[in-house]
Amino acid sequence: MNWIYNILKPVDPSEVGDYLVRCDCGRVYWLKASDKIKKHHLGHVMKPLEQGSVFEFLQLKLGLINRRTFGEWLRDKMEGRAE
Amino acid sequence: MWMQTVNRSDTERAWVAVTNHTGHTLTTHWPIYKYNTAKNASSVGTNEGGLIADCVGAKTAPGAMIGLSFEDIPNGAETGIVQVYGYHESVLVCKLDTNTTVRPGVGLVGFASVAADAAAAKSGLTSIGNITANDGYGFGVVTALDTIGLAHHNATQGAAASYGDHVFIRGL
Repeated sequence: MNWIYNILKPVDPSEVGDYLVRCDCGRVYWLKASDKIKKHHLGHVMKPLEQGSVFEFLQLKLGLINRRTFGEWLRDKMEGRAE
Repeated sequence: MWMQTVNRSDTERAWVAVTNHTGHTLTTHWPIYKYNTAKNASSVGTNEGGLIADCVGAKTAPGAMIGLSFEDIPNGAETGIVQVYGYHESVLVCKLDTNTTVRPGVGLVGFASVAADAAAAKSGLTSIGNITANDGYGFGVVTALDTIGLAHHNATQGAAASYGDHVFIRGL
């Protein structure tokens, strides 16, 4: 249940790479996101985020931006990447 | 509905995530290469990057450069970020021990590592070397924005004095 305490925790931009980036597959995350995120997006080109949706803004404020979505988790699990 | 959330003055950068199975750390500001044909057999990971000696075979073109490492990438299961486009603060300079001056605007290139060659184990970038030594392959994807002089070329690779200032990467 630890995730429930992390979910609203503010992010320190200097720790997560200073940049919010948009992957060329469309996903938004912090430049120094967790290894799970980076493994999912290996080889994708990331550029600094310039425009985001309201939903992404809410995700950011809720601390959900650098977590895998359920879909990403499921795909990683099926393809044998990091649990 | 779209709204502007982040706007920075230096947005023209791009990065790519790579894995490192080279057996050593890929240090920040060091040039990172993609495994080319001659070294494919030693590539065991997905989207794997490494130094020129890891990735490029003897006397082959160092044009497989992706960009400069954006953070220390530890060996093993970890992934790391390589900057592939845009302004970068620093770059590792190749140890030459010759009086070479690289002017701003000149393209930088790595030495293809050749066993028993004077260029072996040189990981940094400079503006000379591969033109004559390695089949005439030209400059790489990094452009110097500041003068790189004798002191940089004479310093031991990895020492503070061996890093040049300000380059522009055009690896995309």
